[in-house]
Amino acid sequence: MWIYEKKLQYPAWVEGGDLNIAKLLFAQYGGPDSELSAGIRYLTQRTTMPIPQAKAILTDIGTEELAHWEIIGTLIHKIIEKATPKQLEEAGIGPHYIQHGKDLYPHDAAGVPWTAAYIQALGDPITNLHEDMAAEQKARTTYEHLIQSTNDKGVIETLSFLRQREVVHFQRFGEALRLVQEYLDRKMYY
Amino acid sequence: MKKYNMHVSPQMMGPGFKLARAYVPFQVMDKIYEPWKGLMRGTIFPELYDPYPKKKRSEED
Amino acid sequence: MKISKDRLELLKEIMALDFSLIELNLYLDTHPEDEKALMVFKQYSCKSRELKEKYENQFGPLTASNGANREWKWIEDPWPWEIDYEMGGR
Repeated sequence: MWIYEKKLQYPAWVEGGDLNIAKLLFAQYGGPDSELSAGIRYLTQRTTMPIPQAKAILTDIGTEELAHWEIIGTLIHKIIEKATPKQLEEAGIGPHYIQHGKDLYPHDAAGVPWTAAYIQALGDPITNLHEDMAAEQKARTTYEHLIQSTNDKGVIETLSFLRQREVVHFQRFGEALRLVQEYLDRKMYY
Repeated sequence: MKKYNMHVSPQMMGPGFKLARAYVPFQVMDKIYEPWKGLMRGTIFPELYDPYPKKKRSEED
Repeated sequence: MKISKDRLELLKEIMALDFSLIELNLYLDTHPEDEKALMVFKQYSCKSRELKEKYENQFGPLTASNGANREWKWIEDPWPWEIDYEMGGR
């Protein structure tokens, strides 16, 4: 089960004023390669993993991704909370403001709502782990694009943290893949 | 005829490795960063630290 | 929302320690037999519990299960997304 701890994983901060990056950050809040996609993806694949190491890593990384989703939400919130409707409109976040006010909402940078079609769980642990490794690369790339799209120091530092997490997650899924492959190889010759 | 300057060959991977498979090397934990440094870098493992250089966004972009 | 210097410092120390714990957690998930990692995990885990107890006694609960004191402090502001972590002036 999930317990909420009343603290962020990282001291997310913004200098403020860059409303454009607030719009773009929705890519990682509700886009195809967002933290939300990552969390849901890993947590749906747990039940068909054949070894305990893989069940654990999917559970633990899936849970960490939800904490990252919270961080992205925090960045967006901190940027938009003091903005006027006019400023939001000029930054291109007009449609979001009309439909959601200053609430967060899981859509991508263009306003397209999140869908489960962004994720895959195929019931095969080897396939699923490749999906997961690809997801980590896609998230890393998205963070790199976002970092290039702002000069806000706080946003850059926070996104750099999140980007580094993707590198580590890729390593862990890679290790899980090795372990699952080895296990299935041994099982074949039993 | 060395046209593509490729430095990868099957022999580099050693005997246990099979075709049509992806292999990520296992990490072996050695030293770790102090907690705050780890938090600021996004990992406590120096061998996994992969800093991303940010190009300063200028007006000409 | 700003919090007191003492509170922010202690919170950051806990955040840093807990981050090390999650890193070691993930490492141990794929290396469950790494004795050294296990030892460092236990060490940090102990320190984290200690600091969290100190934090919760002074500033309020970090989990709802620790939510009661003489009052239901769990609901108290600020919530994590509201805190000014004062990172800009480092």
